[in-house]
Amino acid sequence: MNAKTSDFLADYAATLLGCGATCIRIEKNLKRLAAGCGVTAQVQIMPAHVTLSVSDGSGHSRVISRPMARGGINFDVNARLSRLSWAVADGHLSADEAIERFQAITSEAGRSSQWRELLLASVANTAFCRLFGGDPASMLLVFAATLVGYRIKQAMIARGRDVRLAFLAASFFSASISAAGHVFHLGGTPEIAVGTSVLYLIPGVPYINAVSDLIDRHYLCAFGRFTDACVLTACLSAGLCAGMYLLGLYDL
Amino acid sequence: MTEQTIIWCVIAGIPAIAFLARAAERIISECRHRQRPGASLFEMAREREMLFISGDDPAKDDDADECEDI
Repeated sequence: MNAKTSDFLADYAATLLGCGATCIRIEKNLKRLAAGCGVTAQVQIMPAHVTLSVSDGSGHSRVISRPMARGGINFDVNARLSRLSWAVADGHLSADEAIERFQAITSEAGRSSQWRELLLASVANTAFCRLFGGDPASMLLVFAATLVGYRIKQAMIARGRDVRLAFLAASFFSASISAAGHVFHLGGTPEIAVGTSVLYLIPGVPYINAVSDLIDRHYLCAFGRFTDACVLTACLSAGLCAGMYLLGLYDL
Repeated sequence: MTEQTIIWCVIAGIPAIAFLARAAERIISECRHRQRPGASLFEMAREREMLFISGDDPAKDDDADECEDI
């Protein structure tokens, strides 16, 4: 039993779980990749861990457990890892080349530009404000509020702070800054600015993944992801309410 | 200024001050790293290096002859 191959499969599964892949995707990718590497793998997926049983068909097997890789949801990594499994299954890559490609993918993932993300998230949230009927003044406020809130979230998570605290702080400051429409009488739709200023924090992917896991009968993971998403939504709401309460926006 | 305005300014000022402080900290640390390693305020140098006049011939430098008194 090649330990390097089984370690690679375990790291692969843990990285997929960490970057927001659904359980069915992890199972299928892993089976495909294992077949391409000449072994068989059975995976047990838990909300924060994966456990693999890898066997080489000659009676030797190995059980490996890995915690979920912490890196945040990243669909680019998700897609690249899926392509990697297809490349191995189609015979384009050997096991050693697959390991090198996997290490390259995971090392590049950490270097994505945070400033580009910040700018694009702010523009996207501004578009949401427009979608809900906000005027240009509200859009500008939402842009500024998202810029500040998203940066706070990035900085806190980069420093290892709890993600729930980061959500609370980001939503508080975003809601408060966007309330400038009410405080200084800017624009005609200040309530839309306040309401849309925190939309960038809504954990949509965990909710969708929870439903997908529920459909595929991975009930533990479904419940775990759904609970995680609900907790983040509660933190987001608490920050929004705190900002509105401090600024006296009771009748919004 | 109303109470609401004051509260808003305080809340908006907190991240502004935090960002400015971090930017200043980053600039100061970058300036410190750019200094030449080993740079010092006081150091000993030869007379020639202190009193160089263009046209002086380095081969006839009196400071280079340490056995002059023997």
